[in-house]
Amino acid sequence: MDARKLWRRIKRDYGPYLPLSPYLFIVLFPFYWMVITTFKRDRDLYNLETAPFWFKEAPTLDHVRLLLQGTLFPIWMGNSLMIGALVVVITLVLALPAAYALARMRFPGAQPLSTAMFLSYLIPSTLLFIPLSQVVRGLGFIDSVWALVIVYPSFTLPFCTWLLMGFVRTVPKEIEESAQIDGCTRFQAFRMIIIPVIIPGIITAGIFAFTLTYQEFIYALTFISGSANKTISYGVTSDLVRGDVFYWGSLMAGALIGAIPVAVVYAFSLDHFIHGLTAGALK
Amino acid sequence: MSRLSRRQFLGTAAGAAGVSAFPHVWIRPAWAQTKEVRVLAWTHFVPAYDKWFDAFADQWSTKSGVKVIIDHIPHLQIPAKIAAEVATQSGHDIVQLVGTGTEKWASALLDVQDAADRIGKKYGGWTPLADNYCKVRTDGKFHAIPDFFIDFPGLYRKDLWTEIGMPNGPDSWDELHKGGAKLKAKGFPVGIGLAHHDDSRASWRAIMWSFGGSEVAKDGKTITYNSKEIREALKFQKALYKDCMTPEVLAWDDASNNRFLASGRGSWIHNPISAYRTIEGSNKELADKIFVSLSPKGPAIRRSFANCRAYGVTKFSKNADGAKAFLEALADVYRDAAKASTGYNMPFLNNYAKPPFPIISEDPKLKPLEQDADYHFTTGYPGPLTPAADEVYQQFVMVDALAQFCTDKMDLEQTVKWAEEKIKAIYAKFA
Repeated sequence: MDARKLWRRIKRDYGPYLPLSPYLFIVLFPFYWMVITTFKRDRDLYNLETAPFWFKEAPTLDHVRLLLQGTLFPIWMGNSLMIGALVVVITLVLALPAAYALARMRFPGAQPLSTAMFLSYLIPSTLLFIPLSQVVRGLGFIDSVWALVIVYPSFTLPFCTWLLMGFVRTVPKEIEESAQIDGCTRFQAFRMIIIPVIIPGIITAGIFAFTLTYQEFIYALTFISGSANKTISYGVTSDLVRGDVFYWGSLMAGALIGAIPVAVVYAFSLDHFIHGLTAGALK
Repeated sequence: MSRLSRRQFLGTAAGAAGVSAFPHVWIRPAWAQTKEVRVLAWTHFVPAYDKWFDAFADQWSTKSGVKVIIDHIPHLQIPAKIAAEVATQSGHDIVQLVGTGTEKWASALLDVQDAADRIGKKYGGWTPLADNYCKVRTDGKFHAIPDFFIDFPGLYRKDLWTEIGMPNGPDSWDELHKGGAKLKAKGFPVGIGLAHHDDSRASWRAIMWSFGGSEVAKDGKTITYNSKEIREALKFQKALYKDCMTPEVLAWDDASNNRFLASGRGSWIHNPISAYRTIEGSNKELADKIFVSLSPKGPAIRRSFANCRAYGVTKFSKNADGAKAFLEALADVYRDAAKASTGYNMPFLNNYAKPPFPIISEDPKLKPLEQDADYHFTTGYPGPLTPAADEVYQQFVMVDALAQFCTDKMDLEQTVKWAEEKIKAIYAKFA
């Protein structure tokens, strides 16, 4: 094969990857760094005389062992998953009818209400945690995972309601009206027509609610104290950052293992997610 | 075998998560139990110390019948946690104060003078540093029980300093400057963070005080930043930065100087012994070359910064007597605590502040630390640790001024004027 043909073939086969490669590097490098730091010995990690991108000494499982046996990581992970699942359920149960009402029904104040709902999402948690502390205390949930289950919808609900409003608007009114002509009540039309049509949107909202919850830190720090009630994001930093000593290997192992459930959720619902995002963008 | 569909998988996973959640969800918060004392403490840099502390709490619980639960969280998050608890008037019975001073939280903490007196009487009285940290000036009483302070000595590479004819490391800031410049030329710079983190605030203050400068006078009110001593200190600090360090220190955090020393590139850092202890665990060969010296002395005096720890009993505690009793018992076992901390915790009681110290006096490398109680002071020095002094510290006024001077963004006079105005504005707020 002459050089020109070879060059053409390279261009054809690998050309599309060229514009993609800077993006891939930026997105994947943190994961790569996480993986090698998880298995690097401390001495190797701090050694500036060798290239930091690979192992000089044999990899070790010490950091993973410290994470799994020296901390309550499995319990924190269980807490995070459980809280995430409950928050997704609460969010969807409340956001779906709210989104439907705001998108479909005409009543005084609907527009300002939907704008206000979105604006409430913009209030930072660093301002909200003190008033919310009083609510949590009033309910007797301080230092209980329930505190997070009831507090997290305060930021997932506005966002997901807003998101779902867009999806509800994509469903032609005529379909719903046809169902009502055929004898459905408004609720039946909502349940049997709207919900099945906007399933990709519901999945998208669910994924957003789950990831927002899973990564949250400030409220977990404020409302949880006992080790057994901590979430991953809070537990890992509280037990593996000690004064000015950072257990980098175990911190990275925590981030790596903690990322697995999110990756699984995304992998299994990727098609719906993409469909949801693109559908939600159009009316 | 039938294949698991995506829908089935998600359904099963959600179901499993729900079922596994139940035992967690229905556990009653320990808060609701009676006859208990709950303690908010930092995660000590020595994991073994936390284990010792938890075990001591269990032992004391068995003996006293009062259940003690210790919640460990990172020290940087403790102020936010206390703020939330004060706002809701509920939470821990005992909270650890981490460097911010007792006066800041005084309205939320009980007067514990009785317990402080009992402990002081038993162990030869409290050191002036403990007194300064825990006594609230409005009523002149202890509102927290001092626990320990964290010292800032010098950690140096003996092999490198021996090569330049200074085998015992630098004893003065001037020696550090001269030796550090030589070692930087050989590829082994000195490292003191110059950014928004605890170590920066501590180390550069040590130099300022050693030059006879301070932000405020002994009365805790008169601003003294605009002085000849401060100008001399600033000029020296800039020279130290330019000649002995690399600009990376402008982006450091508290862990950076530990990493710097652990990398084998650093020749000297100003840090508690945590940096040395960590290297001991991961790189014995390098640890053997690292030695500890007194924090260097300046042209005026030898001064270093003490980061203090104390325990306050909250006004919303349901078991204040139990909390005080626990803190008194903790003071009784100070030597065990110091041992468990591998020599990191420094004493606040006069009888404990005399050699022999646990661990420190037995290890020739750490022996210089025996003198640390004599020359370590805290925020607001030479005055008291007032909320105004604390705010100047928290807002990094001194570090920001110095960073702008070192990076040539301001000249000497502009730097002094800028910082003085900031300090005056903060003190005016509290006047």
